[in-house]
Amino acid sequence: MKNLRLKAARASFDMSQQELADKVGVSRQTINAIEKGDYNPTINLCIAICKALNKTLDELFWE
Amino acid sequence: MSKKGKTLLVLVALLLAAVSVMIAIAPKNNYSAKLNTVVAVEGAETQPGFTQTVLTVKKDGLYQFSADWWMDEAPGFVTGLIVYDEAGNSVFSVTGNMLTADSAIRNLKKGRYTFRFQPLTSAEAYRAYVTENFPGEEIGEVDESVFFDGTFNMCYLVEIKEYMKNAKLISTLFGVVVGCLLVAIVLAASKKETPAIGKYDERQIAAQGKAYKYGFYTLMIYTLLIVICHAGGVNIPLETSLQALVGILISAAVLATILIMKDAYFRLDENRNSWIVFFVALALLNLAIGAVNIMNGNNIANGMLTTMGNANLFCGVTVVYLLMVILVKTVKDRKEE
Repeated sequence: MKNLRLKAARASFDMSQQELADKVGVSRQTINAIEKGDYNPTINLCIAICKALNKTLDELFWE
Repeated sequence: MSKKGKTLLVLVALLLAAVSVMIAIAPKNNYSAKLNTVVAVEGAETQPGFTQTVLTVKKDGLYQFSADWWMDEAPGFVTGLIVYDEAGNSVFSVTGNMLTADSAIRNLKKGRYTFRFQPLTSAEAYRAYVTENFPGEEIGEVDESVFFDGTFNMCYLVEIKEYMKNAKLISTLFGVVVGCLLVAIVLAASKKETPAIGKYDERQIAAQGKAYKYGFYTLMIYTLLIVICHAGGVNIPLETSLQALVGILISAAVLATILIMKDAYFRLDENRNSWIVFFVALALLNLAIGAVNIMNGNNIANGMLTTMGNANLFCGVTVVYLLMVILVKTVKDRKEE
């Protein structure tokens, strides 16, 4: 399932996939795969993304 | 000097040391000659009656004779070769229509060695020659159809090679060591001085697990097929070691394809361009060596593809395939972006 909330949060910071990837220490393709729903990130990566986007786990990943 | 510079320096020094050691231990006393001659056969008579050349060995030692003769089509005779030393003693003899032959290891004194090629134009001449020069050798059925009149362009290659114990093993090990050092040099050169974000991210590591799994399955299936072929008596026209190499290359290609397509091949901090340049150079080098082997006729012996003559070609083709996968992936990524 696509993670549109993550995409929207990233867009609100005017941040590219590459910029977010660099910030959390993964590849651009990994961010792309998470947004497309092709990859389920570990809790550690989820937390890193939430911190980078100033959001909570619930806001970005809880359904 | 930076850490990267020091690493590069050590690796280059090791590479130079490996090459120097190989040059130092490689046999240097090799003597060879090539003879092109036209042999006319008419009514079991040949013109010229025989062809010969002389090679001079300059140092006592262990040597191996090597003879090779080929032409576009089989000539209408069988060639007998005898190598004589200065005293006129036969030290190596062989017969064949078109062949590549190596003698056993001989302890040779320095001096002149005469290679005499004798066209044998009938079954009787062949039997007489073998009886005289190969005492005790059983002469089987002689196929009369190999003897016929005509004019034939012959090319004889003869060589006296200094013997090196375990030469193939040493040269293979040398190739592996040099290959590993070259990869290490590229890795060291492409590494950034700044601390890396990470080697592979978690998605890449998960993708690698899948890729290794499929690579392993591929090798299992390939090995099983080879076992079935051997058990069923199916003739595989590849030398045994080449069969193993093909299995490794196919499974490595499967592994690399999955890694590249899932963006798990290159590390986060890796310079892809330097790897692509390395792959292109590797492909060109291997294909060039493969082409030389084909031109020299080293790729086939006894109706089978040889390891020494084809390993580079097969590796080159695999690297070209990987470059194509990288190209496809790059195009796909650009479309997505």
